[in-house]
Amino acid sequence: MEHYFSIISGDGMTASLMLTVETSLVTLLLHLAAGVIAGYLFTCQRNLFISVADTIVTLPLVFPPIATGFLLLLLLGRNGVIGAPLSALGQEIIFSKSGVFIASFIAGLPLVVKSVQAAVEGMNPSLVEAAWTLGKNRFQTYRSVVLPTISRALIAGLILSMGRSLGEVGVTLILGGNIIGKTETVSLAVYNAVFEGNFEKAAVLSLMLGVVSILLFYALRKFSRS
Amino acid sequence: MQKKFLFFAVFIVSFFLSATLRAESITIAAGAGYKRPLMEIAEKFEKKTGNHVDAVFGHMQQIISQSRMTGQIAVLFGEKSFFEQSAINFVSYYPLGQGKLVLAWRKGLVLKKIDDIGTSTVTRVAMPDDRKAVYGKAAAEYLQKSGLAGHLGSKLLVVATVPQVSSYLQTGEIDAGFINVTDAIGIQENIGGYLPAEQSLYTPIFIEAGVVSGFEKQFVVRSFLKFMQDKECIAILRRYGL
Repeated sequence: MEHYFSIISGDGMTASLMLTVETSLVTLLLHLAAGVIAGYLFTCQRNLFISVADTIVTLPLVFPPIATGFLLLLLLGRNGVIGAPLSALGQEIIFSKSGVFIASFIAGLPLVVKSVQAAVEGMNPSLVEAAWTLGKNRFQTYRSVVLPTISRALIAGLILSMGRSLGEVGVTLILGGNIIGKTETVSLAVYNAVFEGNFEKAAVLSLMLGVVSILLFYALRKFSRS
Repeated sequence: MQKKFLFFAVFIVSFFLSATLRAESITIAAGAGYKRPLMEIAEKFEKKTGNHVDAVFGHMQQIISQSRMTGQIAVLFGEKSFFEQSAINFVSYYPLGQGKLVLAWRKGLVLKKIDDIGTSTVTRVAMPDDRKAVYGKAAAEYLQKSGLAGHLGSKLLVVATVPQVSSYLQTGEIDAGFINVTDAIGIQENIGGYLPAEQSLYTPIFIEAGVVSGFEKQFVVRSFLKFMQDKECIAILRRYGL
């Protein structure tokens, strides 16, 4: 048992574990905010902006992660449209924790947004109409009527997106650089361990991720049944 | 008409089937920094012999691990010391040349000497992993012996492989990086330039082809190794700095 603990605690693994926990928490908060905003936008009438945003958000679900990472590298890198002004302000994304957070956020985003979108579209429109008839404005209607109705879908989406974010490798590899002790998440540590031939470490870390995933799945099932 | 068509179809199918059966395949693996020359060699070998080459690339530990896991890799290309320390049983080695460590820098930057990476104009320097990659090990040794390691501090980033350093150089994400001359030649149009590192400051890198035990008698393996000694192949290796 001591041997397995030494695997988890040695060779930059503490930093990997801490980074993974930190990434999960930051991503959870960002996904929550994104889910709430997406719900609001989907409640409004559909327009070109929402259709374009919907396509962009869904893209990581169908686009290869490495290709997504490459596109983000071009956008967020030192010479990228977004990265260049940020770099001038002293904010670097590539090779930093921010890069890992962004990778995790983008990987899980479609799952939370799609769950919310399905819930909004499946809602009885008369509920919203009734609120409007009673003089509530768009924001009040969303806060008091729509949000409580879609909250279960939002939580389910958050659980799914957390699982997806935990397993993210491709985008994180490119944006974070897979730097040991700095931007190496547990999933990347599994990837590295497999290719180093360190199967014992890969197995222990995979087991850890597996346990977390099963717990998330169990929570999702419990939540759906309750 | 139908009979003629059937005869034609059977002829076409048997032609391709016999060609497939005739062709043999070989799986090779190499350090990621040698992808360009080896792909050129593999392509020429395929054209000349009709045999197929499956090539795997990664850092040394990765290809050694893949070889152990799959048992399908016949020849590994890389640094001999990594091979000798591995659990793989190599029956023979064929020298390909001496590898050279270089410092390459991004476009828009001018470096006169390697020591310039210690100046404030260079904010990010990358090198491959010193425990897993040949040129990572060489770069770490060079930085230590040249005394530059102490000047770099947090601007030094350790990534996995030579091509990863090359990619970040080409996108301008890093200012400079240690790679091998082979990769530097391959990407020279997309970078600012490169300088060779003083060879006395790192252990010589002997790039060899190691033949894995059990594959040495296969005809396709022997013919590939013979092809590697061909003038055409030597020219390719020289062009890439080996």
